[in-house]
Amino acid sequence: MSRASKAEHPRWSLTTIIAFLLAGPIVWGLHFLFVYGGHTLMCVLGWSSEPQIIRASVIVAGGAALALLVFIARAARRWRRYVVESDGDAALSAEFQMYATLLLILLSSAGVAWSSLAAFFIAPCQTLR
Amino acid sequence: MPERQSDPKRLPNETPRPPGELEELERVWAYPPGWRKISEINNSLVGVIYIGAAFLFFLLAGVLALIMRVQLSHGDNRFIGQDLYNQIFTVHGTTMMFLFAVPVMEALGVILLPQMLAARDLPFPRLSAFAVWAYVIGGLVFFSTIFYGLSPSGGWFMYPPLTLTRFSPGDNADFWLLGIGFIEISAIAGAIEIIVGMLRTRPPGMTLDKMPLFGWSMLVFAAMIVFAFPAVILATMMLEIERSFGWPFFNAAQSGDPLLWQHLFWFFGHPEVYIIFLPAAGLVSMIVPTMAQRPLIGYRLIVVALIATGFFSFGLWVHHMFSTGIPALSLGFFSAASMAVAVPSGIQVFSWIATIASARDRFRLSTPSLFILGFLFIFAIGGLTGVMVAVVPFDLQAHDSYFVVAHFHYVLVGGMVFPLFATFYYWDPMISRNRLSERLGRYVFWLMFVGFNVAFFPMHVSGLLGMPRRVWTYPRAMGWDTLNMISTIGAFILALGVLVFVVDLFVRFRRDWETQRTQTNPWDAGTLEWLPSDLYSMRSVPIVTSRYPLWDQPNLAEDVAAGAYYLPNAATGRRETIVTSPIEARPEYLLEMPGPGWAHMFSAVFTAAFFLLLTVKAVAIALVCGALAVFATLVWCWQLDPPPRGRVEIGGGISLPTYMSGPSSHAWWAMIVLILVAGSLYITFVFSYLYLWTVSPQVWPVVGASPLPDLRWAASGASLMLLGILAFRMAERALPKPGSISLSAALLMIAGALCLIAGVGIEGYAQWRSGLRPGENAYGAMVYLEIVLTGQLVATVAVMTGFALARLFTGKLDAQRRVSFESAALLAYYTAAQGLLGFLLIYGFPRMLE
Repeated sequence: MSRASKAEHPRWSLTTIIAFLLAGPIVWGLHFLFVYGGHTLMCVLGWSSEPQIIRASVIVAGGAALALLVFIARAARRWRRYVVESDGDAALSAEFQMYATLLLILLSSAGVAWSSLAAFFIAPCQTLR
Repeated sequence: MPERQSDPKRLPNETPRPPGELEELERVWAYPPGWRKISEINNSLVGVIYIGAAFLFFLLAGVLALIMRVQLSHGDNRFIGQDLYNQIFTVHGTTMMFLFAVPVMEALGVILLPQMLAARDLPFPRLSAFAVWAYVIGGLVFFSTIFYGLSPSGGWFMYPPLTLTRFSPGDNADFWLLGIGFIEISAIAGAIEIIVGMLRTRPPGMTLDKMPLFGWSMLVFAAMIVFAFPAVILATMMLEIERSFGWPFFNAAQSGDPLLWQHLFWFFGHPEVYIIFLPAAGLVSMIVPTMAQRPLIGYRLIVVALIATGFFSFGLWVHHMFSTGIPALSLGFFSAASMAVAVPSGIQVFSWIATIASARDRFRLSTPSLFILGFLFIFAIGGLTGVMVAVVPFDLQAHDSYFVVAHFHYVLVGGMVFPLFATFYYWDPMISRNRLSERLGRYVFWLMFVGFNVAFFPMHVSGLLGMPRRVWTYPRAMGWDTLNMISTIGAFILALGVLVFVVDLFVRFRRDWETQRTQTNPWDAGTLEWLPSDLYSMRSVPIVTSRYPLWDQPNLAEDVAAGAYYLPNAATGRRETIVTSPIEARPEYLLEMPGPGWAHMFSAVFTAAFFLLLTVKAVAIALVCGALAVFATLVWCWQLDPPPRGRVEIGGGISLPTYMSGPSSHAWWAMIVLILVAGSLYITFVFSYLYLWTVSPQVWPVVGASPLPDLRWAASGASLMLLGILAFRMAERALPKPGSISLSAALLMIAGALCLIAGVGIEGYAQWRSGLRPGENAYGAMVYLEIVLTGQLVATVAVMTGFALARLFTGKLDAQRRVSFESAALLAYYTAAQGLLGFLLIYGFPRMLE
């Protein structure tokens, strides 16, 4: 690719960059809100007699969040093309953003998986006292 | 060294610079003479006042800690009485957290960031100055309550029902609620300044991957303030309303729930720990590379760790509530998040250790280095005990014991105070003619390090032996005397270390108030704050091509000082700085900045007076002060938004506009951040509403059987909100050309504001007409709170609209010079959106339950 065409490569908007950068932690946050709020709500609504449904919901939510994170990670890898095709500061900047996005997704995935594990070991809707 | 070298042959401006240019720059940025210096708003002065005030509060709270340690030194002690002890531990915790830890980090941001970014100043210097004066006045008045026996005594987290009027009569708790709520507003003002400053005033070429790590940490810190502090503001607002007017948010007898306070407080309170720690980690990430004389290992990993910690810290709040009866599975989620946050924290620790281990030659063991090593040791212990208390069964045993006191002091003192002292020694040469003594510094470190560990390590044991927190004394028969005596001795050794530091500071700290020329780069550091500087910051704004420009860009200091880079002069004849694009840091426009003034100070004084007089129920005078505060703020704002002065050359063939409106302007960004604050507050309200419903669903209305206004009221209110948006949109298009006045724009603005007022008014009328009263039960309280929250925004929009109208009729608002209108309109759009969401919640949720 010539220098001229590199310069014409479309730049991503600020919103897109921030959205990608923070996508991992945002998915982790939404998942956390969903499992905590959902579990509380199901207990309030009297589903405590159906612990398997609550457990399954938490596990499915974890799986869905992980799948979403994988999807976003694949989309973020499109940055690689920009990194390869750009030069100078733009390439370094894009590489940094892609790297940070993927690492944050990795950390968030660990957070989601770790939270979901709780459903395997702890009975829903029961207090410790 | 990372990245590539700059091309020294292509500097933007030719040197030597024309005669008189430097003198003009000095004249523009000079402080006012004599006592009028206090009207100055330059970060180099305001930052020093800010740090000085925060350190004063640290000393005062430290004295309170010593009094507590004397009281606890042996069992059955009668040194001070129970009530005074309760007041002292409350004021100690409150002062350390709200008046020292957060403000000192904001102060460091104010003083260091412009230097690190080679900016003339941050974009809203008067806002910073306002925040500082508000904090100083509010903080001093709050602290002084300890001398009159008026301090709160409910602990720094002020749990109800202990803090409800029935159990805490008098004004003591109100001083906390109004005083701290007010100081939080000051913290948010600082956060807005830091976010916009970090994203828009970086030097050309400083892309996100070249930002100094302190900048990254301050960006995450400020973002966390935006999302965390609204929770405590809402909580203090609710508790104060309950104490003053009896709206039952927390009173279980009237379907409220005291646990709601804990949720709201810790939704703020846990991120608060990281709000304090992350900037300190940023400071460490700046000092370690200098002392190792090599770039930090794992820069990108640390950035990721900072962002991840910022997010994860919002999923930890319930780990302060493990023993409150929340279902075990929910505790499991929070326990998992509490452990997950250890991963990014660990990444940072390993990066620092790796950098130290791979130092070029040998890691310099200066005083700042000693404090960094002390921090690593102490913080690691605090982190490990943190993982212990994140384990629910262990926490149930250790909860509310001295083990927890030991844990959080290891985290906070280790994670924040030690890096802060490293900072004092490291950056002191940047603002003082004389450096602090290295020899005394080593005494300070060892006294503090030994004293701290002697004081706090035994508390782990006394806690495990069963000693509870917040007890003013204990029976000798408990066998805790020896451990407590050791802790007390350690506390005094620690205090001696701080005293030696204070003496050294008094003897050696000398600031030249006429100029800021100090020692240049005594540590051979690589970042921009060590460029030669003066009151105007750097002579010219460099092009940055590396994370460590002073190491990687040859002759940078000389070229910057010679004015060879951008903006070597006062191009508009006034104070100004370059605003760059947020990602790639390309110059976009020149921001003309305000100079010294008094309006922001009067605004701070009267705002403080308003809150404090309300506390002592002097309502009439408080309202007068409130009105004066609004007036002073309007005077302050009137001086902003100067007229466009065309384009100016900054060098390198770049000419920049001197005025910007719309999404590219710094004012627009500030409004967006402010709207995020308002949005966070409202989301916290929605959480509270839903939470109280889960606790007391029986008081939520049943359609047709209890007070629930007809849907037509909601439809009318929502229509008015939408009309308000439409009117502001039309007013935007009707703004006149420069030099003329548009009556239609004025009428549309008035119509827009009136629609919003009517929209929220209708909602209040409909609820009142239906027979619902706020003091009746939690449902009524939440409904009227929603009206209050939207109502206060509507009132703000009304004031801002009046302000825009005044500018329109005086020729200061037109289609080009439009920032004052845009700010009002942005807030109006948000207010209408919040109002619509409110209708959906208040009218929709009970019907959905059907």
